[in-house]
Amino acid sequence: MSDVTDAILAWRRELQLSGGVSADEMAELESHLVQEIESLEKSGLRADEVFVIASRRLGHPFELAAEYSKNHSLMSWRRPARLALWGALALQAMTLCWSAILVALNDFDLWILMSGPWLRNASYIAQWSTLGFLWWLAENPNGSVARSLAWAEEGLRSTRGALCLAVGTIVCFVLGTVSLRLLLQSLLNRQRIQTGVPQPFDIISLDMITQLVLGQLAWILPVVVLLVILVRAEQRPSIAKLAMH
Amino acid sequence: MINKELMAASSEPVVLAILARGESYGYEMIQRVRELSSGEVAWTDGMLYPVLRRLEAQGQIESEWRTAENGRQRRYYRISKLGRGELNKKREQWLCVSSMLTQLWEPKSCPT
Repeated sequence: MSDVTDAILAWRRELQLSGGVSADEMAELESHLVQEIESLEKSGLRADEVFVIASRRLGHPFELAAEYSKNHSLMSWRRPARLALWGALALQAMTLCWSAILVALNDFDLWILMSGPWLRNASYIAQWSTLGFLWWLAENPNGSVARSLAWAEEGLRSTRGALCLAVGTIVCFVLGTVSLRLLLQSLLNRQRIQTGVPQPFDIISLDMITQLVLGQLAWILPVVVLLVILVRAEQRPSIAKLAMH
Repeated sequence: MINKELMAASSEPVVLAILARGESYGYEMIQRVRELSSGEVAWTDGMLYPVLRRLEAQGQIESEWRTAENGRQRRYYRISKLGRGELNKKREQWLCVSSMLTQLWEPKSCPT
């Protein structure tokens, strides 16, 4: 058996050299190889013959690595790009929620404080860390985040789903921005009446709201459009098409 | 012998269909494919694993390392809800192709 063990180790090294196969994937291939060897040994073949047949059935390490790398190249840039776009949407939604919480808490001082450079940076760091954490969760293919994303992307593949996301996002962000600004304005007015001191951002005109909404849409829309394009590009060619060639 | 392109195209529905009948692991799935195709598949065993990875990344199947009866670590796969939906879609497509070809290849009745 030691000859076979050596042969398996050599096979592992070769697979490692071919690159593109993760440790987890390698362990799975090795588990297959070992099981095939054990099953062939029962047929009375010599140990060296058994390894040759089993490794040949599994495929040459270079072929295997090439097959895996096709997988990786298929997902190498599209998956991170899609995650980044989902992240951008999530980040914007998080900012909106965070501001809404502050306004709802009626805590104008905190809002001003949060607008200061230190706390603003700290809140950015917190947001980006949350995003990073979500990304990490999404990378675990069995996690609920990955599953929700897969579910959402499945929905995006239909025209209705894509339209729903586009319209839904626009409506949410427009309503969110407008209501937030109006809430803030009423809060500021109340503060001014109470204290008699003019507050910064005292006058929030309609123009400013329009500007803010347009500013939001200017980058939310391309994000949504890009996301839809990327998700739909991932669609595999239909089997019917392939078979008819 | 089924050619590589056709086998590659059918690999995903085959894997999903096997897993729809219950959880399984790579070696067992390959034995099943070999058995069902009577060895007519021009595919090395290792080619199944990248397909499993891809399906898992797409959320159609889920996997888990567990200790098998023989004490070895083995990766078990099962189909997800998303995978079941995908399998139904693929099933319709394949049945459509198969029915089309069956009709085209129907032997002509002999003129009497």
